[in-house]
Amino acid sequence: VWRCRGRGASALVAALVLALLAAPAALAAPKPPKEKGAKAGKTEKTGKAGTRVGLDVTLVQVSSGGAGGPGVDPRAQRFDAILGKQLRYDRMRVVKKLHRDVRINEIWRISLPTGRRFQVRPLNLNSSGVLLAVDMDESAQGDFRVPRGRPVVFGGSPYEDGSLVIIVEPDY
Amino acid sequence: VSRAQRDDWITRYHDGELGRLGRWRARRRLARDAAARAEKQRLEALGGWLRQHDGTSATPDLWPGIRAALDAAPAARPAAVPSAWRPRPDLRWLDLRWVGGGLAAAAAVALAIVWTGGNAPEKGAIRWLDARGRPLMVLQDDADATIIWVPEAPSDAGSAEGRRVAV
Repeated sequence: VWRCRGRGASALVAALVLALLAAPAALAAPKPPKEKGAKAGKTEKTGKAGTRVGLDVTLVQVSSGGAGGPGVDPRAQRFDAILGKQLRYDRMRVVKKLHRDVRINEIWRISLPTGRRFQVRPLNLNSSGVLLAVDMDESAQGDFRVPRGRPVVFGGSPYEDGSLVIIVEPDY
Repeated sequence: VSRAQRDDWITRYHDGELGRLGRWRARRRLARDAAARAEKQRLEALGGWLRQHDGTSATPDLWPGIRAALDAAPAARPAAVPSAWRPRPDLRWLDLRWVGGGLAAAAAVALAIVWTGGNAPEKGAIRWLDARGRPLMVLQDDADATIIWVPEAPSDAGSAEGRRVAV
């Protein structure tokens, strides 16, 4: 290149400089994540390892019949507005409310009062929300893209005289 | 480089079909290749000879006779079609207001696609779900919440009433 003369050489040098400048930008461009099957060992790499995602996990018990009249725990009013459309129950009370800043790919293991274990793991974070891998012990597992303020609710495990409901909500 | 390849790039250089880099390479090759220079000079001489040629043809010009014959035979032309039956595309339905509206809508859709990066947001949160063979109900998966119910006992699964599940 240094022996070149004339306009052709200038064009060649300019092209090389442009290519060198464009290469880091092309490498830094975000790639669309592959979400399906992330649970099956195809974990995404797009989330930065140091990024922390605030997660609220609320354990709620819903029950019907039996002793005691109907009532909703004041701390569970917002969840009652959501769950009441889909579930038929008389009482709702908050059993436990947890919060933790979880790093991307870190597993947060929560021991449930039913004796089982609930695991949640943020896989990545983008403008659509956080991609959460959830494992309900011996029950179900799945991946969910959850934006802030939209809860993901898991229920069905018998607890005392009703059912235990796990509400996971990102707060980042 | 074979002779055919050499003739090809010399011809392209002579015809101005090469880019800047190609022209630069051609000039360098011509500077060190006498045969290539000779071929280029041959092409230039051929071009000069062609330009000197006056282009006249020995073929007689028949057009005046043809024109005279056409003018003399007006009856051979097809009869004029009445305007009401003239095969003309009917564009009365093409209301300019609708055309303008359609173009505006198309532009809005294109802008929306560009604005969202071509990826419309998905309403539901579920990307993958496995109940390991157990019965599972997705009671809701929309912009408000995602509710997944995994009944533990068979009686739970059978107690669904309408859209609401009894606890």
